Amino acid sequence: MGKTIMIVEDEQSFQDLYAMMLEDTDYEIVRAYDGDEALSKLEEGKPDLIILDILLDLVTGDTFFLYIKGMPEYANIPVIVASSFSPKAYKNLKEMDPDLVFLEKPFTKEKLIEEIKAKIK
Amino acid sequence: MFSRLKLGTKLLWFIAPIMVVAMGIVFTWLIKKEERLIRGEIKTKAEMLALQLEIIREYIAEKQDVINTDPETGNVTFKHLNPAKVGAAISKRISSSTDYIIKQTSLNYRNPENAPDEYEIKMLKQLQTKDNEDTIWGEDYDREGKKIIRYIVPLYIKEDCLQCHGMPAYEGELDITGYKKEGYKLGDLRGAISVIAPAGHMEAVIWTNTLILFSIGIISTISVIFLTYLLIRKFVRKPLDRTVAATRAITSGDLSKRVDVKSGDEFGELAESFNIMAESIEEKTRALEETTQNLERANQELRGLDEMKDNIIRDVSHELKSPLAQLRLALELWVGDKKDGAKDENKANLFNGIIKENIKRLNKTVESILELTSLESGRENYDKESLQLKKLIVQVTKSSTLLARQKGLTIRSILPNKLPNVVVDRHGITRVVTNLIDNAIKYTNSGEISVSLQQKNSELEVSVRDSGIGIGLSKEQQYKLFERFYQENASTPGTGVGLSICKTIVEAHGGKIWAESKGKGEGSTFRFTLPLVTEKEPIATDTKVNDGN
Repeated sequence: MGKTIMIVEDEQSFQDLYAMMLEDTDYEIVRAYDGDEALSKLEEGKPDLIILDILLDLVTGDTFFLYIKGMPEYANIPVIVASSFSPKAYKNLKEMDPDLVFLEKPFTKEKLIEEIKAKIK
Repeated sequence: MFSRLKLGTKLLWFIAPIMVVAMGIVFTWLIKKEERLIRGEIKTKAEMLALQLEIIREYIAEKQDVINTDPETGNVTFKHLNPAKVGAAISKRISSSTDYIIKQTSLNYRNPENAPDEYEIKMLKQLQTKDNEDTIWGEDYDREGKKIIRYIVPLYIKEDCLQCHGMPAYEGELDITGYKKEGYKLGDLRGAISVIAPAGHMEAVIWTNTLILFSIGIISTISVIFLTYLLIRKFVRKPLDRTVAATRAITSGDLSKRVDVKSGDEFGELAESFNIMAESIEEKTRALEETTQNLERANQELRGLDEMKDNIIRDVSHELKSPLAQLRLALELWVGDKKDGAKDENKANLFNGIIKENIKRLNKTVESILELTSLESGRENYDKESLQLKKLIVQVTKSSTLLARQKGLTIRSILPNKLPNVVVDRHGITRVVTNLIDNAIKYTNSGEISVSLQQKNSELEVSVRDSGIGIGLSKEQQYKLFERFYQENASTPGTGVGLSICKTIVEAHGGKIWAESKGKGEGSTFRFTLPLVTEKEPIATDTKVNDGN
């Protein structure tokens, strides 16, 4: 049974690159282009992992993160924050969720898959 | 203890005893003077009486022969009108008709009525021991306890007296009056005239006057104390209290407090100096507050700048790092696929697209930054020419129409004919108009974009209005839109230098650029002006230094 990963990323080319990196795995990918869309996709089905960009239109990544951490039904979904900003910028998010994993762009395909596997077994 | 007393009480402590002592001295002096006057008056009267009696006696003594000799017969007979008898009779009359008692007395009296009293005996004896003693004054009290003044005038034997009181020619010789001659010699003390003057009224007057003066003293002391109190209150305490109150008010922070004392005395001066001091304190405090506020503002601006700098660095680094990250990922995946020998045409196209797009994006970012840097450092040369702004706008609008159509937008232009030429750098102004229209397309999802041109006095105004997302910044904050790297929405693609470049170019032409928006979702209008330069006027030539770099 394949696990579902939601990718919240506003840049089309990044979405395409994620898809290519994960094409050899049997993870099912759900694409969301901003926080708002991600929230409506959450209602359609709860993913096993969320890969989250921070600079998004409308509802930004950190707002989305704070939102799901405040909802009991979504709070336990593991989140990987993938951004080209330095991890230092996200200290406050880390304080809220010590299990939060941070990937600074660019990262390798192997690193991504390793982090995903560590979160969902 | 004394130092703790209020000023008024202190003054009274000084004034009251001084007043009492001063009045005591003055009043005592007054009373004594009064007493002296009354006594002098009594004495004068007593002297006059005694003198009159003495004169009468002398006269009678002188005229004895005449009195006793019958002018017709020449016979001498005693008529009982000698000095002693006449003096006694007149004395009696005076004594009975005035308050004064006058009498003739002697230790060796013939008439028992002339017997001396205790005082007279004492004085006569005293006179006997001395030669030619003058009058004697004394004071005593009568039987009723009233004060009296005693006056004794000694009577010495003169030539006329010897007839009756001189040496007897024989033992037991009688004088004309029938008494034995006493055997006095010339100059011997025979007796005295004694006057008793009433002085009871003197004491009464002195007592009354003392009472009056004492009352005046008490009343004036009380008045002075009361007046002093009132004066201190009016001229000292009130202005002082006001000054003290003002000092307290200022101490507690009410710096606008002033002392309302208008008198020209020392308190007026104090109040004036106080007010000047308060004024100066207020001014200095205000200046200090202003400085503090300015510092605070400057500090806030610095903090804002600091924050802006952080944001700019974050945004720029994101704008550089994000395409780089995509390039690297794409290349890695592509290299991996190559190794595997996979040949997916679709995938290759995707890689190609990602790589091309991101290289273009990086290139654009770097170019924008370089362009802005060169613009701001003044290295850009403007090649100004006289042209019709309308033509330039039409060209830009045409080339942007395709982009707009892709998003389902229409571009409408309102461009009047026959507007004067402007002298501008074609390339620069084209870039400004392009940038504004591109921005309008970028931030608008539906509706239309309208570009208009109009003359306003001595300048032309170009405006680009859209029905897009609008501006969330307040009017005062909208200048930030034209700052380098500023982006209202951080996730919007773009470098954030476009408007900054527009501003630099417009300002280099002597124009202004600004934005208008009613708020988020309300669309926005960007306007810029270019001054009209007449043919004769010297064109604002390019003063930029071409340093050859």
